[in-house]
Amino acid sequence: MRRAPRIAEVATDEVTYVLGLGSLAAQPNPLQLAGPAAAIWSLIDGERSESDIVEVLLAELEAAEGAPTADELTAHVHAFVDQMVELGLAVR
Amino acid sequence: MTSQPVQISTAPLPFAVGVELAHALACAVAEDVGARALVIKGPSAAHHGLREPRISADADVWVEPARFDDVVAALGALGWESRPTTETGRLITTHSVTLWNQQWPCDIDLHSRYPGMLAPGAAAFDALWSRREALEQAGLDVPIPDLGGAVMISALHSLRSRSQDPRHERELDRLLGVTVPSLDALTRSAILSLAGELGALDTARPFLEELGIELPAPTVPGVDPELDHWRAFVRGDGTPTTHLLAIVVKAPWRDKPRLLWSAIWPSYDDYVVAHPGAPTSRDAVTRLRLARLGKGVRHLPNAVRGRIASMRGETDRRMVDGE
Repeated sequence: MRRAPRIAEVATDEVTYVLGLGSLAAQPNPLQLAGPAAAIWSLIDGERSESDIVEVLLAELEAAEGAPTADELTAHVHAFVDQMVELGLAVR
Repeated sequence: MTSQPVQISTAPLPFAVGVELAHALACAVAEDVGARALVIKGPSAAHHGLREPRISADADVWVEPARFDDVVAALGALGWESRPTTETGRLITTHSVTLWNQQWPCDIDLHSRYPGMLAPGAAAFDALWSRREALEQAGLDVPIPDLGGAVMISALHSLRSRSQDPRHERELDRLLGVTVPSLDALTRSAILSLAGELGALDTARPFLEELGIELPAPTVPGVDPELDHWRAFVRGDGTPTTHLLAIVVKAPWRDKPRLLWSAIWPSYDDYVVAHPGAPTSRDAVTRLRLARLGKGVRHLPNAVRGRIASMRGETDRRMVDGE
């Protein structure tokens, strides 16, 4: 899984702002990714698969209170990636 | 991360982020319609050290004139609309269009030419494009003018609008006090050559004279109406009165009364466009019209000085001389 070409991106401490310049018809305004969305987005690097991303996040969240289960996390990552693909921001 | 589904925020876009993304957006949209576009002023000037890095007020992008309308239309399809302007505003600003979008915090100022560059728009654009460099904006490369091009844009910008913004005066000071002394002979010569291609040898003359290179003789008045207009405008402190006086003088006789009247006593529609959110009662509009008239009269002597300087073929040097 990788990011689509021509992604304009500005990252601040809290939020990552993303604009797909190759898919402006689908999403003409920047998306604001914060927290989990920013974490998943940062792991879409053209090398990791969705299950790799789930593994990385599970390892990071291992001890966190209220952390999602593996199944929940898999569903969240899948849903988020679906959304990114639909908006032309990521390619499976 | 919690067990809640991942949410994408729809909070308002911060201004600085919006400006950076808007530069990338405008260049990408231009590229998509096959148009060349250059990011000018803000990030380009900061990149070349011509001003301190700071958040730009908008995204300034110069599009090759032949494809300008295509880029405006393509941005329009993405929700970017021309900002409403007054009749006098349309007469004064002919080099660019300001686009706004409800979803974005900043405007995109799309240029089809640059004030003070009197060569045909396409020739001036080509001259800068042939010397372009790349600058990263929002993680992507956008084209910007090279140092010489950025210097010319900055110099003309400051010379044209000295009285409108003290920042422009500071930027010219920096250009003359920091940038010019650091330029080697080859770069100075390249800037002069570029000024010739841009048709800016006369308009930027007060700055070019500081390069310490011999310049061609100034163009005499009456040869180029645009140069006459520039001289009058700059010497007249760039006020709307100066601009409008020049426009009225230049207009055909049949249009003069209407132009003069719309300048002196703007229509109600123009008032609303020029003062969004201001009171719109009859009294309020009349008070503002009278205030505007008073301001216009106060600026008239400068406008007349500008006309005289223009008729003499003089280009205002006061800013360079620190007056």
